[in-house]
Amino acid sequence: MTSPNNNMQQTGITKPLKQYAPPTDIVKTDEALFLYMDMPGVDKDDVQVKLEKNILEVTGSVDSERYSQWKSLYSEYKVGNFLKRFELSSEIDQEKIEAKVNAGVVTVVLPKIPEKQAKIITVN
Amino acid sequence: MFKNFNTAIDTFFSLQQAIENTLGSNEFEPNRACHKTYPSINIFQDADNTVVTAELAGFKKDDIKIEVKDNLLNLSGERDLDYPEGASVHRLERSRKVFNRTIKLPYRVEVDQIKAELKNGVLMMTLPKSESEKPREIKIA
Repeated sequence: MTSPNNNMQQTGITKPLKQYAPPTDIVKTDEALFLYMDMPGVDKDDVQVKLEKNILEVTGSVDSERYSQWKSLYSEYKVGNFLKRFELSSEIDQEKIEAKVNAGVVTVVLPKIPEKQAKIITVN
Repeated sequence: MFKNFNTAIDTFFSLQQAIENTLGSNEFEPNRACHKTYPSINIFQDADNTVVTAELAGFKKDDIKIEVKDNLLNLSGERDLDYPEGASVHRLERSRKVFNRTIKLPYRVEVDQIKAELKNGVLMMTLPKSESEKPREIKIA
């Protein structure tokens, strides 16, 4: 049972927000890989998708200012920024990666390179 | 489960947990590091209002129903999880589609003045304290 989150009462000290990994669904079709990340509180301007070598990094920042004026009575979740990293396999076409945000859900589409898709080889 | 009811806060927590246990949550969901029931909520208070926030990513206004009676707040809803056709699953971590939670508030609320806002998947409900709950000064004749 979590105890009351007394840390949120005012002390006048600003602390950097912690980072949390968002719950993620990974789903695939023959053509692409789809990532769905729940990041409540973020909209388009708060999300950054960065690709470096084969690592895909998705970050979402959240505004916690509006909670600072209230006293916390009961806390089941902490408010913080989001961060998730993925290592992409070579079958992903990095040029065609797309991302969109809607209602706090970040969707990233990773199309597979067509030649690398499974092929059925006809038997003569 | 029943701790010492030393303070009002302890009572509130224990009652909160008792309500959630009786109403049940999805027992078959995989164990999470966070709280068992969905959605997770935070409750804040200032002088005149209780503010309840819930993380409901992917929900639209029409997907959520909020009901208030006396000091019980009931939240329920369902969201569409639309995956592409013919997709196969690699990993599923997000909470599933349907939820129903009842929360006991510390005091009765003024139902007509409740405000609820859903923005970017965060539901914020501002519940003003009912007039009958506010202390009234009694003059001695």
